[in-house]
Amino acid sequence: MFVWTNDELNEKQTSVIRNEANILLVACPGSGKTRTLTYKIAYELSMLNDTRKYVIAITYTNVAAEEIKERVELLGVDTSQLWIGTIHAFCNEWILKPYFSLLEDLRFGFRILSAHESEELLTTFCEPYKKQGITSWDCEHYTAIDGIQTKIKGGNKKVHIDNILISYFDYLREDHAINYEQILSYSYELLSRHPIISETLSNIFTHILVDEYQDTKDIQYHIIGKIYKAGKGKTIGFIVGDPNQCIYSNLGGYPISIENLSNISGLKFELHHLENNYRSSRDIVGYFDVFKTYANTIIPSSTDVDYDSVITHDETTNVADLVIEIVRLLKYNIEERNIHPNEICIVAPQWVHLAPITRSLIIAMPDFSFNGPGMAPFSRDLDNFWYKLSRIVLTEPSPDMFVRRLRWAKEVMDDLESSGANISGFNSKRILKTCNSIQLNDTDGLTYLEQFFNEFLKAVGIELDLYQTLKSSFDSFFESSKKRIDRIKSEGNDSIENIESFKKVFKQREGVTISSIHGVKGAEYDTVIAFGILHGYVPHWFDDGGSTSAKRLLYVLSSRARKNLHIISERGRMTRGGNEYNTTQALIESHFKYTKIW
Amino acid sequence: MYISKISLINYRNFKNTLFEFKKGINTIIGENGSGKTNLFRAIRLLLDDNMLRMSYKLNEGDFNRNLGDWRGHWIIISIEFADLSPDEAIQALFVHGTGNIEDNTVDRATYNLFFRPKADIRLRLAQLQNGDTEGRDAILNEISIDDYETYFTGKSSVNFNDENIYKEVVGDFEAVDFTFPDDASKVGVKIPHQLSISKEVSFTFIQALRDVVSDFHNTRTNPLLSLLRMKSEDIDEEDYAAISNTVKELNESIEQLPDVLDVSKNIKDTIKSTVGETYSPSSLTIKSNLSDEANKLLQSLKLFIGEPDEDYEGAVHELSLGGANLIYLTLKLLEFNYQKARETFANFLLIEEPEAHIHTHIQKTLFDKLDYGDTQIIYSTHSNQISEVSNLSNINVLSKRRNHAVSFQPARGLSEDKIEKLERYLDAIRTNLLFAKGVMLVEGDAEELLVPLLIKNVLGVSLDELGVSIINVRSTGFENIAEIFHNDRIQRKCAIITDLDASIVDYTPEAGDSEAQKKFKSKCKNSEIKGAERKTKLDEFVRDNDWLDAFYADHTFEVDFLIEGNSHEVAKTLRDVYVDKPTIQLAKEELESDDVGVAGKRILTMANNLGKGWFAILLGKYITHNTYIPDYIADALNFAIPKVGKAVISDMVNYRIHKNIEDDESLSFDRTKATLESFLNDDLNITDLIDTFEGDYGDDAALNFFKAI
Repeated sequence: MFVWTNDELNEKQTSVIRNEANILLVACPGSGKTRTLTYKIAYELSMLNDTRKYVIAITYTNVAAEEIKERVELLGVDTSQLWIGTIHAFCNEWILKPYFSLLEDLRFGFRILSAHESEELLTTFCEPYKKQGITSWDCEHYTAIDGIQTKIKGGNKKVHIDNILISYFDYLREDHAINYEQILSYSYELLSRHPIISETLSNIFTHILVDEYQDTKDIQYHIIGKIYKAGKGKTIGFIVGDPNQCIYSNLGGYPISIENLSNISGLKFELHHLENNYRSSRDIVGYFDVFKTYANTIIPSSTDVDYDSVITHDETTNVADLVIEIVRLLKYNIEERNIHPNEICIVAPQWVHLAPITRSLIIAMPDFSFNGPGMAPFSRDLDNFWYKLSRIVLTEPSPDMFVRRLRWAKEVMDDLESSGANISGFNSKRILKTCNSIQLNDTDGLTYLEQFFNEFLKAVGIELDLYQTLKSSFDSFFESSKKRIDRIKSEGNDSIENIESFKKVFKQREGVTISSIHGVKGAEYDTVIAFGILHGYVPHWFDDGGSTSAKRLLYVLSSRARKNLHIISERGRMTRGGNEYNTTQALIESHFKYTKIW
Repeated sequence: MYISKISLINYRNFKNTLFEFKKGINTIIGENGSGKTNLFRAIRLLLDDNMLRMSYKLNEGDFNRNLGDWRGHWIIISIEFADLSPDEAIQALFVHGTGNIEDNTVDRATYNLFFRPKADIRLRLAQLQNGDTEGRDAILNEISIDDYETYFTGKSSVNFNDENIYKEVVGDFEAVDFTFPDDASKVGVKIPHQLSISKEVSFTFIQALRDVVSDFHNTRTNPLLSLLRMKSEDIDEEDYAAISNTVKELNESIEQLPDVLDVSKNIKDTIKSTVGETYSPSSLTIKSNLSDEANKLLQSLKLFIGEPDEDYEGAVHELSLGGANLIYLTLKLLEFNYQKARETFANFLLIEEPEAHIHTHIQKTLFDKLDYGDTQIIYSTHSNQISEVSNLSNINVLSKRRNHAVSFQPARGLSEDKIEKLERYLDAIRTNLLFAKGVMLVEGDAEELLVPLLIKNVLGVSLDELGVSIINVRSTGFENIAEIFHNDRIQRKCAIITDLDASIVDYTPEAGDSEAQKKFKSKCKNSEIKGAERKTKLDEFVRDNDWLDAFYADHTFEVDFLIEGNSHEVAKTLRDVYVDKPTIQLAKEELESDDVGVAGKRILTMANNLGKGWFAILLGKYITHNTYIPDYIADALNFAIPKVGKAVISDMVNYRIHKNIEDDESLSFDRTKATLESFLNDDLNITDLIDTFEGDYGDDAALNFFKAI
């Protein structure tokens, strides 16, 4: 059995892990949620006594899945009976792939459209509606148990959007393709029409653990709920997250209530709380506590709980001087507060604001490194086969990378197999060896990758044109990368094409992190500098959640900070209508006594 | 859970064959070379962990030769499992990967192996215009075995034995209409990688071994060693410590033997004296190397056995062959039981030709007692002894055809009580009915005795050589047993030979008939009416069944035999039947009478006096090559024999020529002989041959048979 000491987990965490009931665990920021989940997984894996059973863990992102899996492995537990991944990957692996033959639409096979492809396709279908100003962005949608929900719920655009989506889905059906949302809707359809599937799965899964439940959509709750329900207790539920950090409500995510959860799953869930925040100073906790939308207790328990935090709010800096102000804050933190640059994060509500800032900062502070968007020459489409392969291509073989690269090779192999390619005679080691043996001298990143991919295909004996999934993801990989590189080049970064800047993508990150609020989910830094905290961004105009959404975003961004927090609601940002953006209402209402540093 | 069906398409000698199995013990009956081993190999490709890698090494030689050009075709091996319990956790992963969901239950699962062209070829074929035979050939001609892939699926829904399904799934080669991509609702879904079926079930295959002793000598195949290997994994370390210490001590004491020390000293000295100190090894010792590791030590164990009623215990090679085989089989069965003890939910035991292992009477006991509960046993045999103890429903009969084999399920579609009746029949007549290529059912001893004699003498070949079995039903209840010959069951020809019992006299009552005459006439009348009724019924019974036909003697066998022109043969029996000379003379005249009422009455009197069986034995002595085969029997024989080969026909004709010339040297068969040659060269057909033969000698006894071919 897997055991741990009191230094590793606190009493509450331990009791939750040992508890065999179905649990809904509300974990406040910095409470060791991921650690608890990791240990829970390790513990349940060690308790398995049947090689036919699986522990399922559903994470919000692939990165999180990989990280948790790695951590479980480091705990010395065999992960061969762990399945971990996003809900989409789960549905694909355990519901669609084994049961798609039961669906009239899919019985001839299907491929999954990448986000990029889907967007491109929608753009072409939006073309005839240019006059009405409809873009693919307007067509964003998600599936609910009763059908497709568009992000835009009403107004003139709605009718057109509905029409666009109808042609879009017709096209997909013809093309034997499905998008991400359809992975969920088809899975739900299968489970609804054939209850025996849920029964079978509940016999295989001892546990389904769900991370970040606050951002889980209704249809996802229902998919997992059906399996819980069919199992009548055979599959145990362990659902963790923080309702206060729910920031994807516009995509349908919501923190389910324990009553509703019990209803959907047919199981009795116990509600537990992790209340100790081991991350932030008392001051910081006191600050973000104000933005709570779900009442829970948070006990500041950091080793540095009495740190003399600096919390500022700047409502005077003009957008023109924003970079100067941020540079000033960075220097203040680094020089006067002794904060390591790696422990500083700059956040803004939207990605569009971040790229120019990143570039300006690189010029303004040439001695420092920055990790921001617009730095990578190709999109991080984690499900794209060629992205997966480039991870191996662009990293060097080394002892500490071996296990990770081997796992990537395994993913590459699994993908090849499921695309229908015949790779008998290959295993992950051989895939890795094949990759390592390909030597190229090209310095242009994209040319290098393309040549490499072709060599690789030759080595494994695959003719690309015959495998639709591989082919279309190949095209989409290069198409989106080219676009990206062109854009970055047009913004003045000429070295981006170089293979070295390709390789940097997978190197250990150094320097100040620059991210959107959504992007720092789960992360923590000594100092957080946020800008663009303005009504219209926080919350977004379209967000019908209003002040609740704003509070949650503020909650998330400020709870990332261990020590210092700087919020900027810069002046001089204008709407299209010519009005100036104002400070976010929730911030004004909080009436907090901010520090004055200058 | 058990295997309920196996479909083999284009695999080795199976062009398109379906096997059906039941729970428990199943038998595959088939002559040598009918494909029993190939069937087992097909099953093992899917279920035997040791064979799995072979499924990726199929090649052109694995295609059925009947296909002609294999290129583009698929080999399909499909197993259907029945009796699943989807709610049992132990089966969940299996059901997940292979279970067929129907009306929201899963009670059967399918698991298929496809050996087929890789996606690129299939795509290119599918892109061809319908009817583009040139394009098709261009693609097909390029195909090599490297263009093939092995693909496993579960949850297929279609019957691959259906030729239309093959066209749908693989393609219509004639019409150039190919399918791509797969319709997963038909061919099924790739087996998920979480599931390894060969690990989910326990499966043991016991090969038909002719040389068990050498198997015992081979470490890989020695069944005792596999048992010990299985056990060595759970040896208690503490228990074993004492043994390993003893082995260590033993090694040390061997090393310390003065003689051993001497030898090592001598080696050292010799090296030194030959190559000198500089080049000599720095140290040299002789070590005893008995392994103290449990698995290795256990491997050194050997089995010693005493034969029944003997005191001496010998090694396996000292045993009698039967004894060694028995031990081998026992160890394999034990291995199976060990395997079964693992957590598996289905257990399969395949035994190839147990008659090759052990004596028949031990087999009978063995199979009567071999009851492993939830285990399905499938064994193959060409011994009819075993088939007797088997249940008819659990039998698949394999039959050789040109370049391929077909299988029959003798009891398919029959009701329980019909099967029971059949089983009783089969048991009683103890016949190799299930092995015969053709069958003649007769109603009495006379036919059973005389028909084979007639054929042997007249045609020069025996029924055995023709592959035809004659079965005496001892009544006119043919239907019960004939039912087994049917498109759904055994696809072999079966001729029913029976009597119409038409009266030999005019039974219209006449004034002045004696009591005896009246009685006789009414008996004749009744028989005739009953005979006609039987015919109506029997004709109806065989009407829609291509495998059955009925052949009638107008009156009864004896009468029809006589009036065919065989009074000469019958007359010869008179001396054995009658003693009184005038009676003999009268009887002779009556037998030669043209009036069937007179001649028929006489032969029936003789037969009845003696008993029909005895009379037939008597008559048998006088049957020669010149005896005429009654037409209806010649027809029946023609129906029952599987396609008569040219060589056989030629043998028969030559036999007739030879016999006729023996009788009368003046006869000439030159024209027939010349025709025979052309016939063998395919220049002339059978009708030409027989016509010429008839021209040469129009009174030949075999003519009616030849004409019926």
